[in-house]
Amino acid sequence: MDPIHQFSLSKWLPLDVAGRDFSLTNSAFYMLLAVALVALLTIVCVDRNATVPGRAQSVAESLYEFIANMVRDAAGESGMKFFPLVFSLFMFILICNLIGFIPYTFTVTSHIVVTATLALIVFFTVLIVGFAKNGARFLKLFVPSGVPIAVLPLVVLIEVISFLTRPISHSVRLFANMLAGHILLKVFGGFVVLMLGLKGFGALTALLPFAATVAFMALELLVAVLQAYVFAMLTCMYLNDALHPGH
Amino acid sequence: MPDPQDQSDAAMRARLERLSSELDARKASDRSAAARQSGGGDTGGAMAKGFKAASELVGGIVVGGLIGVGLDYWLGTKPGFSIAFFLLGAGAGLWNVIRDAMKPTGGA
Repeated sequence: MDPIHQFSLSKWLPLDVAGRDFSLTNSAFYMLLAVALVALLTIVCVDRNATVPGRAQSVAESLYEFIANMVRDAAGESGMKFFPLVFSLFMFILICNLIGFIPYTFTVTSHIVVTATLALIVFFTVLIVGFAKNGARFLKLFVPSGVPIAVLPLVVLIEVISFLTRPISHSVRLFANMLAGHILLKVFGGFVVLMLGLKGFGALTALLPFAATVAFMALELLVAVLQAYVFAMLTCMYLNDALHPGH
Repeated sequence: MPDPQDQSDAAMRARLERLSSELDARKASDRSAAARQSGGGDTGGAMAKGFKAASELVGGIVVGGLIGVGLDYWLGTKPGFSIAFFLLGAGAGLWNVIRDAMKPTGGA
């Protein structure tokens, strides 16, 4: 009944390498499972290379097209170099979010360690690519054009802070949505069980939280897909800044 | 009496015409389905924008506050930098949201 219990980590395969804890936890297992499922969908199911795609292949192909269009729209044709990164992030987050809907599974993306790592990968990719491609011109990102010189220092400071905000908002958005959604479902599910225990007609009131749980389930499914989409889209926008700063 | 060759040609033409008109109707319904789908995508896009705005607002305040508290802790100037960077962070978050909202919507 504890709504937080679903997020606790447990060691499934204790492993110690040179004094460091490398145990296989439930989190690590579900990450590996997500990677395996993504590989199954995008490598094995497309392997036959059929001209008329089967079901799984057409799913994989439409996801590919969807992300390819997103990258082209947000970062231009030169952004397609980062298509593998964006596609991997999108598929990993999507599958992790969806796995979490199966009862008794673990939602990897409800832990901020995971989402922060993904967000920092994007953040440092933007920094490294930005400086490698543009050199000092990348700093123009922080100096918007057409700002009076008197307020320029203030604006630059605000721009720098807003740049540093990116990994935080990027990771917290995904993590908080998944965490809150799963707690919500668990709490309302707990209400169903508690109210079923009431005597006589009281047990019928359990229908109310049950209906709410069903409705929230649909909402959370939307949120799970949408958060993967938002994460990938913002990755494209940030990469666009790295490729074309000072627009 | 028309010869059988002519007759089968006419029948073939009729069948071809029927087929192409069916194809056109099918294409039109596909297009409208695609349009409906992109309409649904716009709702998703709007929700995505909402999530983005909310988290950027909060993120700005959090990052500004953390920088301020960190500087104060480091330089021992409590609470000067905390106040200044909290406000700057809130400004940055708000500015991000405003900039996003000012972008022309629609288009492609």
